[in-house]
Amino acid sequence: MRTHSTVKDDVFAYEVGEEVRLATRPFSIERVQEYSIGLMSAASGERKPPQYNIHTDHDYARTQGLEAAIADGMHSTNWLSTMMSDHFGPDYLVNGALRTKYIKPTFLDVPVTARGVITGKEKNDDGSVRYALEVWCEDDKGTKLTVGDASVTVTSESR
Amino acid sequence: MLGKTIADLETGDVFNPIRYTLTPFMCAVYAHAVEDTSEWYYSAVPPFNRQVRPPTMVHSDKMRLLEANCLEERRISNQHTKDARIHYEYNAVHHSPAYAGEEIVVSGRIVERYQKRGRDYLHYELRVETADGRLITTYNDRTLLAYNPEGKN
Repeated sequence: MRTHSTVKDDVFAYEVGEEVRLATRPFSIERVQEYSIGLMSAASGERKPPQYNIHTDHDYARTQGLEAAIADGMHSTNWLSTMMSDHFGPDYLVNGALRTKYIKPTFLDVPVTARGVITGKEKNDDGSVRYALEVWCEDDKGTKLTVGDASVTVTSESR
Repeated sequence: MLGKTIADLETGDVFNPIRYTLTPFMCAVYAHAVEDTSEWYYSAVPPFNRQVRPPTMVHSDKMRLLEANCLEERRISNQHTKDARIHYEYNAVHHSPAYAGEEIVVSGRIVERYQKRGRDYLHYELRVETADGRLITTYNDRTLLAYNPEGKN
């Protein structure tokens, strides 16, 4: 369960400088295999087994110049995307944006936290509010592995 | 150059668009894989009242587009080349949700193939819309064609 205490009931109540985050979790081998299954199944329309690649196979990853298997960058992006929809609700799917860069490899079993800080809040004439955020995933030492930015225009309090 | 591997793609290549019907299974299996428990990915609940897909599924659209346009490297079919591709940047703008049951059209091009610190990158630009023309997602992506620690090819 992705427990986190930074979600507010009122999506208009976030202020510049406030932090949002998800619970800390490792990218375990089971998680990266499930992601492989989900991605390939969604892309094909039928249930697929996990593929053996740099995300799921340490030996193969080493043949590609990596120290060991690394989590798919999209896995981190997905945790950040979930962080956005958890905090800002369904408007994120309608009026949202997310940009991420994978600046360091994310090795398996390292605890990772998806985090963000609100960098902008603009009230529009129609009552909606546009938020801008800096977002990132970091390891248990505070090293940023994935960095980026996100935005969302919230128009209602529904979630 | 289309029709071969991802490493053969060049600046200016325009992908042949693909079409598919988004199914409830696709939405749910992807959301489940990333542990997103938002119910709108699993069933028709408010506020959408129709099952929707996670917006990050634009990445699976990129895979579908490559599958149809790079016939010697079909990764969904588990047909790989010697080099693993390393995703470097994801950049998506959401214009509307994609609903289960809708026919999805994915088009795209290679904006640029370039070198940086001795590594080869592709910059993709994708456009995802419904068959009746409603824009869902616009997407830019940068991918490294092969990784080596020193950045020397």
